[in-house]
Amino acid sequence: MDQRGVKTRKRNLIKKGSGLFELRPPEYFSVPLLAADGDMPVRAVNVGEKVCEGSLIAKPSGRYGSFVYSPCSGKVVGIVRKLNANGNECEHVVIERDLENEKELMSPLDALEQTPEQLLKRLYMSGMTDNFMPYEPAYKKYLLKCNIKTLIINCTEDDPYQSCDSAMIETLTSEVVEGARLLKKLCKADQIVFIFTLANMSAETSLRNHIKKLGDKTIKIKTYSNVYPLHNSRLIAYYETGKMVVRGARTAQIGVIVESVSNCLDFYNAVMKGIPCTQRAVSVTGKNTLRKANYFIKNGTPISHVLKLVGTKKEYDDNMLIYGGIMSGIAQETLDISVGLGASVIIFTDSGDYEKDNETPCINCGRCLRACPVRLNVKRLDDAITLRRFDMAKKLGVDACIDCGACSYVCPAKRFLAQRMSFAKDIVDGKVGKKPTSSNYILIEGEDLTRQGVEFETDTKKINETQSSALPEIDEMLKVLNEKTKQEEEEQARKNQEMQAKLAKKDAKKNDEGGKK
Amino acid sequence: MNSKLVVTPAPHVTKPFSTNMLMFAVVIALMPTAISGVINFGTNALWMIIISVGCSFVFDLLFRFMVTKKFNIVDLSSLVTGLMVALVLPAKAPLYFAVIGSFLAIVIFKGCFGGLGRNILNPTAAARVVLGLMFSSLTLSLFSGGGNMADVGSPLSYFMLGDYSSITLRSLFFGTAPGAIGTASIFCILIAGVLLMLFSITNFVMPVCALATFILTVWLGKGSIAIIPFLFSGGFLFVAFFMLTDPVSSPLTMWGKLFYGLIFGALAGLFRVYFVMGETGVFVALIICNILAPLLDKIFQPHPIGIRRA
Repeated sequence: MDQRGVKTRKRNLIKKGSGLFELRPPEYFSVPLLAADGDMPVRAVNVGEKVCEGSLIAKPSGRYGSFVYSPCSGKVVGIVRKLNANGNECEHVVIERDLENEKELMSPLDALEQTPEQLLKRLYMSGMTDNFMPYEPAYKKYLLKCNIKTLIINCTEDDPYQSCDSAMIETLTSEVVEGARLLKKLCKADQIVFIFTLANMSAETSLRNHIKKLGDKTIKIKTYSNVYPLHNSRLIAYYETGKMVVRGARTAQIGVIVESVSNCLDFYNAVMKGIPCTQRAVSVTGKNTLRKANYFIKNGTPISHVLKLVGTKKEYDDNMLIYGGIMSGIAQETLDISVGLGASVIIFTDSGDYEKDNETPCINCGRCLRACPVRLNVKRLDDAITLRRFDMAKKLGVDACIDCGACSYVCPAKRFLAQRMSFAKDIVDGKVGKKPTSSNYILIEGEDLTRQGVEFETDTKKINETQSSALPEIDEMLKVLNEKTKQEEEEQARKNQEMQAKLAKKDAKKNDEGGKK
Repeated sequence: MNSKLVVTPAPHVTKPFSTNMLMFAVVIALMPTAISGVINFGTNALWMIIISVGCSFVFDLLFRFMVTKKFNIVDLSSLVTGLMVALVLPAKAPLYFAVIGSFLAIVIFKGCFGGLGRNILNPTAAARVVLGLMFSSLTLSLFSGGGNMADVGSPLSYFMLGDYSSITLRSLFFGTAPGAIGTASIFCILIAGVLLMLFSITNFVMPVCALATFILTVWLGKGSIAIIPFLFSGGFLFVAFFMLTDPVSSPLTMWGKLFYGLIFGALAGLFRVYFVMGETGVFVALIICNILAPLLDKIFQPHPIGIRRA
């Protein structure tokens, strides 16, 4: 299968083979409660309650959703509703850490207990999230009753700054492989395939040596060429089987499950040690950071704390904080966000990396067509979207776009192709037009002590104003919001009445006509 | 500590390659042909190039001011077009040819269509064809009459009459034989064209396909003796390497490019062998292919994978 995409220059600022470090936990955590679209987890703790490390703080609600566990022992001091790192609004539980270091763990599973049902239950209970689909719990794809042929462990690290996966493989080889074997037992797959690129050969050799020692012939290693979009599970499944599932469908339907390295490690910990998933290995890099390395960062650690410990160069005025890779990550507007479980790369760099140039006219060179991994006619889509012909965009298959940004990367005219595509995709899906329901920050209960640690502030005055005013005037804001919702309800009721009246008139007319006939 | 956080959409890095760099690469690639033209044909060629480039720059600036009310040159495309126009004109042509040619290329065939990226025809080819039609008597005398060898245009006129012996292949290859300024030296064209392809600035599919069908048609029409003289004269290689690969007026998709090259080669060969069109034949063939390009794009649409079928 020919791989399409762009060749990016690897910018490994982290020294190779430097291993993984534990980041000292902060005094205050603000743990985001995130889950799949629509199904938010329900909080299981209240302000003032004492929690241990690994005790439950949120339960799944609805059909899908995930458990959230406390990353430290301490006291719940507040509950906030604000934006998370991925730009979605969700509840955060603020926990003040104490020094008691109490732990509340699940019981480890013995070799006899490791039946698929038990393992699935443990996966469900561990609170792991899918690395390739933000907000999704990891157990979702295992629920489908499909014949799984291959379990793919994606170790490709397609982002130029990422190196946490190879660090994990190099330092914790046996744990990762055991976790993968447990996942294989869970989904009853025939084989495990570890996929690498040519950029992380050292991790590949260490894994190869370990597998030779084990003598397990169901574990295979494949090397892909080093082109950029490889983080998408559907794309990996396409390269493996030659079939592409549509957006929203699962790769399990064609017999392939794609899992990340950190999920293997977390599953191993959950099964063998009973530790629920509360931390992720994250590469913290960028020009303006001092101690660039791969760290285990606990769920809910404020990014301001991470940057304080890692150290930042302060001679630059304009900084960029990118959460989740330079190619497809999200640039943050404040440091008042916390590291979630989907994190892989945090980049703190100067703004020199971004292109200040405006877009220039397209010269029809076709580089975007050659770069697109799902073979979209990007040039014609660009034309269609600039002309606001979203029907045409739908016909050209805009919903196949996987938001990798390869087209924008490669475009010599510096056109905003990826942004336009995702915009059109949202319009085709009917997502655009819904207004946010509340302001960016609301304190629901207690107090938010993580905000004291915010050292950097955004220059935008508006944001500062809302932040400062949000704290004392919560009641007022809530009142305004309640009034707004009341007004909306009244309007809705009025509209409904009008509609009913119209319908009644129509019926009356029809009846009249019928009577005349 | 107050420091700004810059927010931009992903991807936060782009490839360090821009339209202007592409244009500049083409200008660099055209330099050897231009220099060899100046060495072979003297100062008139140099003045042609300078006037053409300067005029197209000024016309571009003025046209942009007329349309947008701003004096700004965003891209180097006018430089490329101006240089191209000079290089396809005959060496001993009067200097006003360069002014009219650059006006036609920049204003009529590029600016009026909406500027860079919107032109349907290759501006250089269109300007060359219109110039040829406007000054048909003058061009004819320049190209085929007279006793002075430098005044005679391309050696193609001899080849089309079946006379292959009067001009040596060596003179054709190094550009000492008469012809248009840039199209004479096959050596420089081949080197620059291959380098452009190696650095993947131009696409290799179109020239290769064009060469294949061109050689086939000439072989079928005139026999194997005519292949190399026909290939090396009359600016076919210049057009195939530098003008056929112009991204704006060529198709987007790989299959479209393939058929575009095939059609161009066949048409150029046919015009030379059966219609005795001389130098202009290649440009007419290119214009016809430019018009076919959108159709080829429509026929060879890429099929996206993973579309939701309703």
